[in-house]
Amino acid sequence: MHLDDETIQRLVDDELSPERVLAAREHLAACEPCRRRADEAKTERLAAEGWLRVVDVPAPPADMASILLAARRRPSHRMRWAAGLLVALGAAGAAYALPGSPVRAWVEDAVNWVSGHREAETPAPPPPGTPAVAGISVPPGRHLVVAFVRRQEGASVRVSLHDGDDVIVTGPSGSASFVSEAERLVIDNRPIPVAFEVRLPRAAPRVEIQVAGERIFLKEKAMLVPDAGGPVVLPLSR
Amino acid sequence: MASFHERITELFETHYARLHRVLHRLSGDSDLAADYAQGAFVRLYQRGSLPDAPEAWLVTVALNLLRNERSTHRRRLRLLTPARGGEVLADPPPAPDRTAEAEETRRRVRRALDRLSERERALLTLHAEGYRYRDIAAALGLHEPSVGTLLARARRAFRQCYEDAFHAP
Repeated sequence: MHLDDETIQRLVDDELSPERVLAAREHLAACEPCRRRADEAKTERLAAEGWLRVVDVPAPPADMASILLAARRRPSHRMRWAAGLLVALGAAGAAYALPGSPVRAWVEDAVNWVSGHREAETPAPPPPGTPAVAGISVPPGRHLVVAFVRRQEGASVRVSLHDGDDVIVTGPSGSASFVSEAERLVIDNRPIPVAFEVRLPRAAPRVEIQVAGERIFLKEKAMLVPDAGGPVVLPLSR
Repeated sequence: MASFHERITELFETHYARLHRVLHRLSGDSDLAADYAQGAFVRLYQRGSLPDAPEAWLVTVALNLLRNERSTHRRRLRLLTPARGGEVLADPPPAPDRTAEAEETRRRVRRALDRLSERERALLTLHAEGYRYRDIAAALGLHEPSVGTLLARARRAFRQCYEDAFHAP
């Protein structure tokens, strides 16, 4: 029985517990092939670290004073969100108050919809100047669930593979909100019939797509369910 | 007990150059690396308190800044120019043939790095800078027990790309 690659690498990189180091060294003393693998791993490590140093350049000078200045000058994320919200509310209020503004009708539609008086039938056109597509890009990690919150008649998701590193989910602007959690990407899709796009990294170990808690697609290493031999379009209605 | 400001100052003095090296090896752009290394400290200061593992937090934020930059602007990676390489070789002045040789090696390494996936580059760079497997897994969203295997693959790929770079035009 030989040492596995992970153990050899951890031994070389000093990432094993003392007990496991002892056991690994005992094994190496008696096993020529594993000793050779450990030596090779060490050589690879030293070579890689040496090459990396070749491209290094000195860091441009910087001091803590400039960090403090930037921290005070640049609003934090929360402050930017708050400022953005205030600006948006101010603009919305002004638009609502303008005579003949369509915003008043939009607000009334939204109020009616929230009150349950009327179901939205078609997606509202995005306001002028907003991007036509919205989305999110997250690393897949070891296991990722892409969860659409609700079923919707007429809505669909097109699933395809790509060579990049991230899971990319896109949809028409205003069709959903996207929230990234640990091992979970939640897409709070609006009740409108739109087409979403999910692009999965070929190297992602396990990605699951769910609608209202029910799995509709699974990628487990190279296995795809369902597998159409290419991009697959799945309804979000089932 | 050191104040928040004193702790950040200490972290800045010990980790700014390290963060710059990580980001520069990943991007090939020294100015960009300096911007985002400093940006990570700005975020840390704005956070108002230190996280449990500040070094890991800093590198995670710096990598996210770089990732966002790439996804929004798709900034094209640049090979090191002779002028830029000259910064490292400025003291003492080497013989002209050694300068050319060193510059050629630098180009090959940069070319090899650019051919690796973003994850492989980050794995190699972070580990070479002394980050532990646990911190690397957290920064890159990897399963910690498989970091060693992924790192071994990245090193082999790096060697292969470096050797291929000898044959590239």
